[in-house]
Amino acid sequence: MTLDWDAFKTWSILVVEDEPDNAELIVGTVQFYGATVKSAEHGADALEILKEFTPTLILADLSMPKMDGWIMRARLKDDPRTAHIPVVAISAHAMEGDKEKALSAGFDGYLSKPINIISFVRDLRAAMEEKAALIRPQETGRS
Amino acid sequence: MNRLDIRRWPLAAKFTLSITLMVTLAVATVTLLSLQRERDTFRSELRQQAQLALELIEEVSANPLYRLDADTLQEVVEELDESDMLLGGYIYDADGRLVADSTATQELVFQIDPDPYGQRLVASDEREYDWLPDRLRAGQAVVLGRQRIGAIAVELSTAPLDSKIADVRNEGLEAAAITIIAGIMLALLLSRSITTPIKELARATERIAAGDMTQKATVAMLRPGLRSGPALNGKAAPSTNEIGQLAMAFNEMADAIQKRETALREQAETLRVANARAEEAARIKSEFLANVSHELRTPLNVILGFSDMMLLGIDGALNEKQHHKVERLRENGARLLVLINDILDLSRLEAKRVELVNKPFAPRALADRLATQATVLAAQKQLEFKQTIAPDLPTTLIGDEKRVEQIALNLLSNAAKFTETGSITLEMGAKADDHSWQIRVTDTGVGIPPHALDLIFEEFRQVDGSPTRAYMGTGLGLAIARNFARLMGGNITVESELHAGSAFTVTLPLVLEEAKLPEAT
Repeated sequence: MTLDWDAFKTWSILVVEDEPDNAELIVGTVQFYGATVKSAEHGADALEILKEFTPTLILADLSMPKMDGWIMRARLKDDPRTAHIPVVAISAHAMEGDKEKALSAGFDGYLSKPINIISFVRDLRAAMEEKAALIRPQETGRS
Repeated sequence: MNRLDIRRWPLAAKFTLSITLMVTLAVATVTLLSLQRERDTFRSELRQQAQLALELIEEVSANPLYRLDADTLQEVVEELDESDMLLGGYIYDADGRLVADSTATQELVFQIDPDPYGQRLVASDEREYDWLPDRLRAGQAVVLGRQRIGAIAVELSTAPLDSKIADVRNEGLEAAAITIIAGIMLALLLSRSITTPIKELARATERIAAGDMTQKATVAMLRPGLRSGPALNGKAAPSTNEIGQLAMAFNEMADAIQKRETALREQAETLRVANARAEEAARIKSEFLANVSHELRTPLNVILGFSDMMLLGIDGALNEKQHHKVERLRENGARLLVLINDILDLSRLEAKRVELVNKPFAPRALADRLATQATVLAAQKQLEFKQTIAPDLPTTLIGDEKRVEQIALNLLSNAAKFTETGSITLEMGAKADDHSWQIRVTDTGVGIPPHALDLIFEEFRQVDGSPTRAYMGTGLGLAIARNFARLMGGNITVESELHAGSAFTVTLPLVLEEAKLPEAT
């Protein structure tokens, strides 16, 4: 998975967030940086939308009703049509170990709330590169 | 070491040995004394017999001796031979010559040479007794009127004496043997009666030492009165001797120990329960704080996010007054977030739930990020920001970069907060000989009075009270920073001069990447 960060404007992003204010904030931020955005209220909603829409990236809350972020991440991995789409967790669970738990559960990055609008793209990129750095040593180890 | 060292012998052996020695000594003394006595009695009897014999010979030999009638004299001595105790009789003339000898097998040839013994007898005024190896020789002068006309002597066998003494000696030896054996047995019994309870006490002590309190009562010897005296009112009468007293004292001690042990155990259990409760309370508090902070962050996220959007003019430009108000909204929201984060950090530190994520990082990249933020902080108050990186600072270190950054940022924002004019300086360097590296933040601010230098690291403290109005903040920052520094094996120290400025130094252990990853080279 390689993302062209300079072309963030051309990206399409699915925001999965149950809390309306936070959803509006994240959607607004992504729109501010010029990307196309769709939003889903929970995991099940997201799976429905993804049947007709293939985004560049998914930003998902972890605790949501009906289907939470963890289950959604697993479902997406199981489906070959969605397995390749990177999913970054956005959570207010700022306790130690939450990030590690999310990264080892297959999320491609972890952002903690509150998100910073001014540094949003930079933070997002850093979060994904951190996860990528975790994978790389294992890959070299295998070869 | 030396097995012959009597001091190392068991008590029973010592006791037995000493009793045996005493008994042997006593028996030997008694035997010797009785032997002595027997011999003395026998000797005086023998002397009496010799005396009788001599008196008889004197009576019958005076005339023949006077006439020097050797034949008659010979008859006299030969007649003596009838007694088996009498070994011989002898008669000497006035010159000491032997004139009659009962032991002579042939006719006595007249002796010309005087016998020295005969001469001695003739010259003697008293009876002479000589104890020879197997006989008693007794002799005396024969006096007629005033004239010494000769001497007579008899020899009596001491063989009966010897056999009698031998008998006495043998009897004594037998008695001694029996007495010694009896003595040894007595000694063994006695020593056992002392050492057995002592051994039992020793064993019971060992069991008690091993923590077995229940075994105490089963020690037979320790049951008072078991071996001494009849039961008293259905209860065992306590032994009155020293061992019995020792046993009772021991039992009392064991009871006391058991009571104390039980008390201690109860106390420990109470403490354990209290401790568990305290830990549970701390855990609940920590979880509560974590949950509360989560619930606080979510709306704050929205407040800060929409403030930022409005400030960025996403939905249209704000006029100056609107912009100012939203800015205040944003800034106060940010302060609230810092406060929440501080409380969360502190509760984690208190609950010891902080785990350090130690990874290799580049201290110069960290310094760059800190400089960017410090420049902003300094610019807000028209302060100068200076940065120095010592060339000896390694390019890669191992540690929890996020926490280090948090500490440094805290010090930098404090420096900016308490400085009105002048500058803020960030210095970084290493002390290889101390295996440490330092982050030093210096300002030209208000400074800290000497009495407050320690207080500033305490929670909810600022120098002029808690929390102050003059300077915003919770007063948690330094406490958290120092807690984190110490958690990493380092510390934070402060030097300050009032109205001149302060210098905070963070010292952290220097862990080089090469040291941790030797196979990487």
